[in-house]
Amino acid sequence: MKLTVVSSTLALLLACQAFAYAAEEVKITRASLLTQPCFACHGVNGNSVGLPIPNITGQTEAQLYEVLMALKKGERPSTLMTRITKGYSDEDLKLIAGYLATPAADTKPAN
Amino acid sequence: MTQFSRRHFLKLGAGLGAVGLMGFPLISFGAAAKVVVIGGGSGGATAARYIKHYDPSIELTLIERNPTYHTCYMSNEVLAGDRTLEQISFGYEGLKKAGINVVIDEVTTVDPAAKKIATAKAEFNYDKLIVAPGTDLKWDAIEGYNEDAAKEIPHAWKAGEQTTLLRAQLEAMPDGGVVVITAPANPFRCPPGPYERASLIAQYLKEKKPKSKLIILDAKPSFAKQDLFMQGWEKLYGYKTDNSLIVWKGLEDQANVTKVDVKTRTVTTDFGDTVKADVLNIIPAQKAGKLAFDLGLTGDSGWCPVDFKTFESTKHKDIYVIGDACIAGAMPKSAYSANSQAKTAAAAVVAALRSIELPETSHINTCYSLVGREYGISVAGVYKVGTGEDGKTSIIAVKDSGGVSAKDADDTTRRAEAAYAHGWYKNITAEMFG
Repeated sequence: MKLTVVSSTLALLLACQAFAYAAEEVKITRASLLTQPCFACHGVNGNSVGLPIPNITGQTEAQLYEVLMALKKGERPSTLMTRITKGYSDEDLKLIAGYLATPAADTKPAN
Repeated sequence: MTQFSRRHFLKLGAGLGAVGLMGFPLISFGAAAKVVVIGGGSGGATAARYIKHYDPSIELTLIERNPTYHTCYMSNEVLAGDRTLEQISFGYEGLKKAGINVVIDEVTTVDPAAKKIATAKAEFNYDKLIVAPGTDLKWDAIEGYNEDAAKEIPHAWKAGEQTTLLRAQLEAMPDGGVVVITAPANPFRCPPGPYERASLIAQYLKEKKPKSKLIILDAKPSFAKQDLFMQGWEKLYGYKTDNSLIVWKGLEDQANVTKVDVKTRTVTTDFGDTVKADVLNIIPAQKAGKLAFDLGLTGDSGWCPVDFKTFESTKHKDIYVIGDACIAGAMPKSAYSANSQAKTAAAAVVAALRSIELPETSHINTCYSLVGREYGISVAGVYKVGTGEDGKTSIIAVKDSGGVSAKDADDTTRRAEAAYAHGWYKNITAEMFG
């Protein structure tokens, strides 16, 4: 009798855990860690409310990568972004472009 | 989800012991992890946001002693009369809406062994604790300058009442008066801050009280963005002429202030020179906020040593220290640094609770300074964990990146950087307070 209680308890607990993990999958990636510091200037998720700082969302990965690489090479004029983009490898910039281009809600901060 | 899980956890509590006895891992499947953040400034508010972002199931409490936060950044515009105190004031409604349990209360005790925190009104348990205690002033650093003296001679290095007090004194000062700012040795909160303050007070004097002077007495031989500031001062405030509004004296001029006479508003340098001010602003040397000392998180330097990858204290396991109070290698003590560190610490906390690996982290700092209303300059940096010059692991600036604005930039660039400074302010405060 005691055994039955225990096993049903276990089953319920495991079911709870499976449900919790499916609903709350955590995505901590190199891309998220690289990109999130950008938001202090460029706004929540890159949606700037502080003009003239531009939005950095709503573009494709290829478009964003092209802009970031042009800034890094100094081919695109900027006051500050060349200094920043030079701090990243081309691969890092690709990850950042990819993160910013991802439309999924699960990449977004709580607010 | 949290409520659902907890109900089941409580109901099934009797069975858990049996599971443990039978050799199954005793994990509190249904119970949400508890994280507490102490300090609701640039670091703490951001960390709370990002913990919720990464893992909404975490039971998250933010404890902050003041219901309203005044940003120190842009408070120099308040001193200049270009912004009101209201415009640098923020409440915690946005964080509450994001599902964060915001508690406005004073922390009275923390027990790192039992992982318990008590405030004046309540008690909290935690699995992980993030502290962002900011800085405290070293009241003993300058003879005669203490908390009582600050009621008459403001430091205004924590925004709010102190900002209002200094602004009122500037407004009351007659034309032809002398404003003295004393700047501390490194490291301190916001390295370019004293010089932006000098610039924007000079702007006010130029427009309203042009016969006045501003003297900076510095404990350092040089300061952040010095060339750019001085170039701006030449352009806007007659620097290097006989009529310069601004005079800067550094360590080489024996300008390290060691003593203050509150009654006469006179400062004495370690060389014995005295300077009498009509308005005196003492910016004392600094150390980590009191809470860091109370918790035993500080090292010999008065700041908190942390693991550079995660910001976990090297003094106490499961306590993370971010922002001005922590030792973060090459990163300056700024709101931007605190914001960046908060995002890493949040990820590190969630990763540890979920037993997942934390990827390699990366940081940015950007500090804009206003030399005048339409004259902005900046310093920027990208940082990573690496080997410092002394061969030890640290947070280092990425080689060949970052640096300050171009020295001889045109007026359009300076105007653009002033506009970006204001844009940055809107965005960073939106990210923190929502």
